[in-house]
Amino acid sequence: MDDRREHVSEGRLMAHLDGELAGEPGARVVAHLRRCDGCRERLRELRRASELVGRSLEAIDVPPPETGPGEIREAAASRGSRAGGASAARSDRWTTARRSLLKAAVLVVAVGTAAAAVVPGSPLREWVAGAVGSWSSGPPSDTAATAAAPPDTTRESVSIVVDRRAVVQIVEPAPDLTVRIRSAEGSRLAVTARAERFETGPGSVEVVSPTGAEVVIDLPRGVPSARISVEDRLLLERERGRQTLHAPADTTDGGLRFRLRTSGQQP
Amino acid sequence: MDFEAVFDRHHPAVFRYLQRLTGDPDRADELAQETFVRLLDHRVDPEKVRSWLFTVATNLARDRGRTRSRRRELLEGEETGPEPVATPHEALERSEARRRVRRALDALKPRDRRMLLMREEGFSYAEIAAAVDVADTSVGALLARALDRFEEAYRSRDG
Repeated sequence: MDDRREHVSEGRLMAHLDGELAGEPGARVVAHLRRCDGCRERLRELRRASELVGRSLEAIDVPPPETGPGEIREAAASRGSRAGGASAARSDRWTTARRSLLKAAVLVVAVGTAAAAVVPGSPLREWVAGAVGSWSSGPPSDTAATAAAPPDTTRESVSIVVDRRAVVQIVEPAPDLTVRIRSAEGSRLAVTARAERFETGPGSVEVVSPTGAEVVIDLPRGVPSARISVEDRLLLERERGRQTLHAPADTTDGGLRFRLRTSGQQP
Repeated sequence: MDFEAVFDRHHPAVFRYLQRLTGDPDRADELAQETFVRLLDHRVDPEKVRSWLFTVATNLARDRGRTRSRRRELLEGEETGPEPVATPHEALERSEARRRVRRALDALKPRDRRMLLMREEGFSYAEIAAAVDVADTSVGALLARALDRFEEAYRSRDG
């Protein structure tokens, strides 16, 4: 490159500004800048713009949240992730082992039954016949009970650790729903309700189809930001520690009670 | 990998990057948490964990922005965080400064915005190139143009 006649490309000037040019390419740029007013001016422009970006971004920065690695592990565990749900995984392995054992026991009994059936007059035949009779009327194993009973889809409560913000959203509520919000110590947001399911995320709980008459929310008083709503209806909002009610509520012992009806409208 | 050490070392920068990228501290907090939750489920080379975290964070911010539900929109907060008590004039100036910065960032193409913010976090050109899928040799020129566009939008009296 003829330093006296050719300018440095913008890309190279930028790379030089950011210390990305080393060795001979960097030395050539430095040598050119000594001789070229135009490129020196362009480099100044880029440096000025770079400093502007740095300063102005700092103006919109906010302090980082006080989230710790423990909260991350809890969030992962509540979703049943591999690493965060170690205790859940151990529980699953125990349940699997127990089911395998029971299946083996059933197989042994079945084989014994078949064997007894071919020996007329055998006491074992009578004993097995009696055992089979009792099994058919009342199986003692969890396996059979699990197969017979429908899965329990009615959850009752969930709690999560919250830090700067707590959000509870109630969707598809039953008519005549009462929402009770209690002030709680610590950092756990707890929601109690008979509902189809709960969905949790970092700092948030969604209550889906509460079937009972009441949803109880234990909201940590130390959380600076919170929103509690039923469908599109905001009930309570807290920002920087200041709490605002957006719907009429009774004050009960230790909490607030919102009585809603049908589509979430107040009675 | 020592998750706690990685978290302590990188979480503030990931949060800062997401907050600058999205303009919403609460959403940035959620996305940062999600980023580290995903780290728990992946084996990442310790020497590449920082790049991995920022790539995941960027993808989450992009994807969650596209699929954000109406319910979640109710949960979006404004770009404010805990601030010291200010006079009305100071508060107005601060608000105006934030507005100008957000306007300047919004004037950039999403890729250029990401590149500029990653540069502010000290990533090398090679890392930036890999994150946004451009050639190493293009990074300098793209950043130069992004700086120009940012400055022009920031100093503009319109909007």
